[in-house]
Amino acid sequence: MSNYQSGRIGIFVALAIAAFFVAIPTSMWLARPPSNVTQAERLGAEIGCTCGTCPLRPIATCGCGFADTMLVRLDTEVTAGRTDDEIMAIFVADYGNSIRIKPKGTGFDLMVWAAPMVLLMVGAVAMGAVISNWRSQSDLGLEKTPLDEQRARDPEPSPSLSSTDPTRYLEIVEGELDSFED
Amino acid sequence: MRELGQICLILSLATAGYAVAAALLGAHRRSPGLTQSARNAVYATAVLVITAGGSLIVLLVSDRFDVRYVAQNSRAAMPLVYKISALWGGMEGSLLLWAMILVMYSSVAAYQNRQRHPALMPYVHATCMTTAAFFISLMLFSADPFTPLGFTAPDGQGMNPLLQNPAMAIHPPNLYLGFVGFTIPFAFAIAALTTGRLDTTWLHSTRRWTLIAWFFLSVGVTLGAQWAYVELGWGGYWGWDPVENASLMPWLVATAYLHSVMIEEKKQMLRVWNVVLIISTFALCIFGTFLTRSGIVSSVHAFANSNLGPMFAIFLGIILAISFGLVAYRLPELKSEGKLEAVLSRESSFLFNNLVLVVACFAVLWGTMFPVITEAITGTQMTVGPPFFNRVNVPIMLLLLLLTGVGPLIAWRKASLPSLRRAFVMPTTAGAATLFAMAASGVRDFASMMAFALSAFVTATIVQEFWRGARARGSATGEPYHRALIGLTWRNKRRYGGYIIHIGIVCMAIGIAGSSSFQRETQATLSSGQTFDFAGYRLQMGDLELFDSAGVQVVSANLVAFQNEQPKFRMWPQRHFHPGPEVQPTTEVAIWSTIRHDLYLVLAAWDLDRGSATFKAYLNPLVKWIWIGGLVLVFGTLICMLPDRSAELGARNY
Repeated sequence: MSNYQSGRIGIFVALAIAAFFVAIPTSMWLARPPSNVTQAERLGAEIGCTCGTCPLRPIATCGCGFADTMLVRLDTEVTAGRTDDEIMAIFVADYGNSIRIKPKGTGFDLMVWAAPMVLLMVGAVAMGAVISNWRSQSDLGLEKTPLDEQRARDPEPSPSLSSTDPTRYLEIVEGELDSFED
Repeated sequence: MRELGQICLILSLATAGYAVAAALLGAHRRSPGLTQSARNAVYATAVLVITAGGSLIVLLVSDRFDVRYVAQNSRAAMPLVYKISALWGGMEGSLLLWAMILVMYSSVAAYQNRQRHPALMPYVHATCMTTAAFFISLMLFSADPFTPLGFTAPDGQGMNPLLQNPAMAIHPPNLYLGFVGFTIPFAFAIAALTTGRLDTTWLHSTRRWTLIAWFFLSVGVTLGAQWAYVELGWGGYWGWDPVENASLMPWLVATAYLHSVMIEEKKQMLRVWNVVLIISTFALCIFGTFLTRSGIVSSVHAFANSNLGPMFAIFLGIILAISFGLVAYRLPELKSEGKLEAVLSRESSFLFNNLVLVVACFAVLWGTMFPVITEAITGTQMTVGPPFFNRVNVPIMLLLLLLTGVGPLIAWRKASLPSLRRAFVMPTTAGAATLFAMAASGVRDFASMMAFALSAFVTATIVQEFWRGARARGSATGEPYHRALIGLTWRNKRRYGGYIIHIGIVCMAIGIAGSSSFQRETQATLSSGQTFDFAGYRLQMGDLELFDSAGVQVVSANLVAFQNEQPKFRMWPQRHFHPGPEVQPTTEVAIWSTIRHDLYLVLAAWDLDRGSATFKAYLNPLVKWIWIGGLVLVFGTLICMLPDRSAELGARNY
């Protein structure tokens, strides 16, 4: 392995580690409670209905009578001046832990938030590494085809949307499709 | 008829087993005779399973309440269409439907390829028939739809009232047509891996099969959303229920596959990735069926009291072990020399599109299974609900929408910066103008602003693609613009059909962003003649009635909606009480749907003595765009599925 290759691998490993450490606060940010709503609205969106016919639905949006009862209870607790944690503890004590439909952004629950973000960000770095590797292989070993040579002579090498000549554009589209379709 | 169905199922297990044995032996001995015999066994299995399915339909339609499945899932007073749809209303019948669709697909694939791919087809038959044998075994040994009740019940319990809805009558068959459809590309992938014929032949042979399966799965998911919207009565269409998630996951991975397969066809790259994607899609289809029947997660859709979970888990484990074992075995041959001329190319954008789709699938899978994982590790019960799925998936989907727009603007192989600059001008302007217009109109919700701006960006991209392509064709051929547009699409169905599908996705994104960000709701209690104002409408209550409709007790309120003091339309929100061992209530919402918004009215409570009722009213902006998007997606997929002359000529033979 050349110094250049090992150096590049090192860069991508460093980027992957950095992506991991960016993903964790990003997931904590996603898990945060919204700030522009009232306490009742916030908790109404985080407590699930227990009626049995609409599991997982937040009581704030579930239209059933059971949810209405829970909403009245929630309003009572909010009016009494309790904190989010206190109210949630009351509901968990009465209805069980399964009413908590939004996992916390801390402890073991953080894993549920973090895993997709870690996969996305570390995956993006890995994808960048793969593309970079393919690109360098192309530089090293790509044999020149007649089309490539033609492109090398062409001041506008990319068969893209840039062509202002409609006939040329159609040629490009057809050419691309002929090489692409069966 | 009951005996006929049962005998057919027993015989079909024998023919499916024979098909597997004959196919594998035929492949081993290179015997065309044995392969042909296996193919005939596939046809025989199809005839037998379809006859069994037909028998169950006859039993349902003729109210044979001496059969347990009929007594549990049908009722004499049910309309004919729901008696037929009771075939998939219960667990045993839904397994039979799975098997019916599988043997039909297998037979069509066998017939279609009877003169082609002699090396691949024995393994295709073996894979399809192993899957069929598994489902037939489940029915024969654990969930027999033909089990006698032991006596003749005076009437049946009837189908779950929530399932008695037109969308629900066609939603499950569409989902199954999608789920089962992926068996064929999966079987070809297994055949390619087993035989080592790993070039693009199997991809070409399964392209249309993949599209067909994706098409039905898309329709099934959309119909499921519509059913939830009109039947569950909570004002929304997607609740992130585990079973809903089970249908979304294979759709996401299959969408990634449909994109990445183009790179393999064009550049012979990503062979391992594509095989992994199609295996994962099929495995997720089986996993979805497992979720519905295992009871490991709670869901409104799950079949209760099922003991099939362990069998599905074992089958899933075997599928994954064999498939990934074959991938590992063929890894040296699957590895392709990856070469990319430029980082800025459509290949790169497709790779990132794949990453985002796979991450979206993982997020849904992870959220669905996390309660099970948590309980196993910490011993505590917890729930992962809509707040998690919405928060995590919104940024992922916005990223996906961005890539949907960026992809068509970047050329294959290599794109230069000046050309990109020119290509991006119009779409970026459209996106920025939308963003500015929304900000100016007071919208501050970042996610919805981005969704609308990106929707404008993607739409502009696609319009630009069509416009430039048609203009170029018109100039070259002398055709008028509209004919050039049709000719362009006809000549390049896959490309332009794909763009139409993207338009459908944009419509859906607009509907989802509008309805989730700007929904309004209120509640009001009215007596006859009283009114309440909501979202520009004045709703006046008329009568409140209680009546019987085909054995169902109906409470119905009658309201007149006024706009600008003029009566515009009537609404009848209702509650139905279905008879049975326990009376089952359902909410029948009243919806006034326009292109701008839906007025969605729920009868929440009532007092017949006083003639008063309490209503929940929702204003759901742009919901109709979701259903329009579904139709556009269907249209685009149909265009993609139309045969290409060049594709017919290009198929190679193994």
